[in-house]
Amino acid sequence: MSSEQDNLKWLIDNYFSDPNRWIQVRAGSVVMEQGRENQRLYLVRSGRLQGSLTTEDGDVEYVLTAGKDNFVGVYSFFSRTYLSLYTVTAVTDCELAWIDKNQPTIASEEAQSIEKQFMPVVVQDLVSRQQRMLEISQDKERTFRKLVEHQRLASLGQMAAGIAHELNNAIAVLDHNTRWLVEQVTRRWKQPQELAIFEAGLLQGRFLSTRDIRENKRQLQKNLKVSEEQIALLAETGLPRETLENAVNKLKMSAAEIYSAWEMGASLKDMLMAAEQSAHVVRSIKTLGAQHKERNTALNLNETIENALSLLHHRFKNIETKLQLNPLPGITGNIGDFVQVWTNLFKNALEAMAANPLRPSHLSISSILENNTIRITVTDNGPGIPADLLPNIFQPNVTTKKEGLSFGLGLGLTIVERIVTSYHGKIEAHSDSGGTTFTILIPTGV
Amino acid sequence: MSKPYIICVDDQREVLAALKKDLNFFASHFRIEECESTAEADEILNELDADGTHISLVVCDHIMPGETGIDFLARLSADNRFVAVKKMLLTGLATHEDTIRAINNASIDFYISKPWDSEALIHSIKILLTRFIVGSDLDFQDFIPILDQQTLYKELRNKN
Repeated sequence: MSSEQDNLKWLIDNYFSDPNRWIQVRAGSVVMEQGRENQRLYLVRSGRLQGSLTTEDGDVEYVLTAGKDNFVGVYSFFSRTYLSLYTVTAVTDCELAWIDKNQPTIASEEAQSIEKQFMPVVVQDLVSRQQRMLEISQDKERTFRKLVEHQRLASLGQMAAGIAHELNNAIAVLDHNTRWLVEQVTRRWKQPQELAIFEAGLLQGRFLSTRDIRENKRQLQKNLKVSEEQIALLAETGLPRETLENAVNKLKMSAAEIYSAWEMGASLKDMLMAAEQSAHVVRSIKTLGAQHKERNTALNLNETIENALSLLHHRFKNIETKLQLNPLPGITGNIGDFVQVWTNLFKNALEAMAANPLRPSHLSISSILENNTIRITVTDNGPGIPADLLPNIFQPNVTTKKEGLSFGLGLGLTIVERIVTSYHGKIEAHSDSGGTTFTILIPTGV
Repeated sequence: MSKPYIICVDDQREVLAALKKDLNFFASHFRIEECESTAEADEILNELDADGTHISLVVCDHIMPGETGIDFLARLSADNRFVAVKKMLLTGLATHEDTIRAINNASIDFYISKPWDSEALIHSIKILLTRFIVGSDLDFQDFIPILDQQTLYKELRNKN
């Protein structure tokens, strides 16, 4: 036994062992009240009490808890003010032992005064108050930082919504006028063969890679008797050799004419796709800024997972999907929010796995309730997220995808994180060369 | 004599196609070759170099899967065979650090941000090609229509 414990035992035995000074306190009753007189020092024999402080602003801070062998009323007793600093309430039924200001000193070998005897108790009380104060101020600091972060995200969202609105008008002009041009140009060709070449460009677009085009040039050089420059133009179209031979030899079209008809189609297709891609970007940005969505639906997260899977079912054809959805309690929210979270995560997983076509794709999705928190994991067996990218994946503009006009925006995970955070949830990612797991935690109290 | 080459590198075909329309201005005197990756550009460059063909300019996107444009151009600058090649970075997104690296390590001759203005692009390329022609063993007289006269005058005066 340490001397501290010896001392405590001595104090209890000598000052708090008179059963006439033991009292029973029911849970919920107030033992002492902030600012009121308190002449007693209590020792908790059993049960639990809580001390709270009402600040000038009317906020109530919980400043102490006391259990067996703790003292209550140390300040009022030893400061000799006999005024309580806190309001102390019994959390459970308690048994308390007490002494009051009339308590005579019980002589001991080491100390002659009651203050000296209780010195370790007083010091311990001061230390724990100080620690509690520190914790409270750290809590406040954390809350403040969270608030600032929320505000930052909110204003980012508002700005994004504004930009999205402006861009939508511009995109609408581009999209509609391109469509109009497609109709007009389609009508203007005099020869059906010209129209066919234009439409090939418009419908198929640039399906040849630059490598394919070089190979196509080599092939055409063997078959067509035109200059190298002309071959270069014709090769780009990817039109079948017979079509080209026919156009050059029978219709007497020049390579420049053929290329121009095809390139008009391909360019218009590029424009339509670019408008569509821009519209997609804007939709994503708008989601980023959306905050006014109603959240009053009772929903089951398992159902939102199934909704998302059915939305993407056509992309799950060659994917082995393992679902482990355990029964979950309902939460209140917006179904669309969660469907979007899962679609974004599933799409990322699908695209990651597609990057590795030789390995069969496995996607596992699980949900489970753990201590009032719903835990959902989405695991793919793609090539993983590069370690240097991993810490930043929730930032806008971070993407591993970049392919043609379907390149990644780098907004998907930003949106996911925003939605999850708005439900007081958390999202984490773990990734290595064997795959990536996203874990989403949603508290059920929302 | 075969025409000197201009090499374009961008992973997006649509962007290559748009770029090619502008570069068509130089098609009378230069061959324009397109690549979708720096690896593909490497192959072309090696082939052309082995044939002793002139490579005048590389126009390269920055952010691509695999090697970035700046890394690629830095590699070319460090390669004796391609030191004289003019290097232009064409990018929609480059950080401040990227830009510093581009200037310090990649000896990039010109930097253009997307979306680009066609006239400005053609003008800058004219200047780069003029410098290239004057610095090479080619006869500038053969290229007069596509050269920038002011730059030509300045370069010739410096040379003599």
